[in-house]
Amino acid sequence: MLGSKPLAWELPGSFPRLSRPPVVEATVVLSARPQRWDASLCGKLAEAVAKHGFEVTATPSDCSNPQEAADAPSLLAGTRDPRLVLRFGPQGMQLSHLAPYTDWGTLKTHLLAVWAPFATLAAPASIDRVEVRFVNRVYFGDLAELQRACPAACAIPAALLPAARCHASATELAVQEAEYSLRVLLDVRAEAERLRLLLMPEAGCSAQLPADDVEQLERVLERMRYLKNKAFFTWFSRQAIEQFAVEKP
Amino acid sequence: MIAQARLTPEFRLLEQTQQAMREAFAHSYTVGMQAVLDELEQVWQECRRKDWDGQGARPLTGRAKEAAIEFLKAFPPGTAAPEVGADPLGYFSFSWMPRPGWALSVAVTPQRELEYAVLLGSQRHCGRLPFYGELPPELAKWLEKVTGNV
Repeated sequence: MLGSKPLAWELPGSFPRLSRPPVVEATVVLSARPQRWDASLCGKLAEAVAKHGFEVTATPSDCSNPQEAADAPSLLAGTRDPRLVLRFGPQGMQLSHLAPYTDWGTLKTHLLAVWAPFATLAAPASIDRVEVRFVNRVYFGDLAELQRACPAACAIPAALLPAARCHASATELAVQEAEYSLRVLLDVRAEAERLRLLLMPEAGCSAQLPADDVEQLERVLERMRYLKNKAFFTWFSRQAIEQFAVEKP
Repeated sequence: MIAQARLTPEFRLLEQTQQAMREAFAHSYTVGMQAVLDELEQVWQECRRKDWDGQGARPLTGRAKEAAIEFLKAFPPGTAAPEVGADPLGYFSFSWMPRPGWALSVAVTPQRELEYAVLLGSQRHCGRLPFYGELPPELAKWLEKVTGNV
């Protein structure tokens, strides 16, 4: 029955390391409202993250009180490595690692490096939600190839499959601890001469975390990592995963 | 009949799911429209005051911004990112120019109308379409022709 057996933790999980992961974007979002959101804080944050190699590319000219404007402008920063995009705003912070993706450790190191000044300068009372999103993109030459790699991608009646131009689905999975969630979005689209598959596992944790407890944040992040890996390595077939170049331990 | 069907809780649930999926992908920098939304925010900051071009341009209002965001979120994941601009009449405009002589430009009015112009080599087309939150098929067709995907 649907939802009768929530996902249990098997930490740290025995997932293979891939040398060519199809990740086009890995994002971590920490929802943590600053005490205030104004130009002075933006300036201090820009200065603080510069020490970690981040350079501000867009500064809001008018910061508002976060209580009044949920979509007040955010502070955008990047590094010399164009794969990293950092955003601070009245709702918290977000770090994205674009392709080519290296590994979880690198992402986590950068995240914790920029979280520290945000926690100190913006002084949020807590982290209200953590989200980890990985966008994987794979191209296939034909339908048979796609079906071998990701059988769940083609939940379309066989008679109409050749006519389908696109297919999208969202799957929500129950997790052992209720504050965790896992949603898997899938989008298949016919492009010129090929098929494009997007697979996006989105793990979330809505437990309230103390803003100054990095160890607890790390524990939550490890669980998020497990969930997104569980989705990735279950949705893709073993054959497909081997093509992403499994590294020998 | 159609209007009644749109009111059923089942329809609303499906619509919400679809919307949530779109929103989730829209947050992505690479396959969504997040980078474009950031650019839109910057354009808005620059052009939300009267006479932003020094020649009497109308300001980009909050309503114009809302319509433009809704328009961007209507695109399927992976749509080629447009360039964001401001029209002196107080509209946001979006342009796709994949190569010289091929372009699609869409202005989104605060009244939720889409004014578009297409250039396909020597062919030119233009028109005006209402916007109800879904990408009009006619516009999707032009975008596919201009960018080669969607």
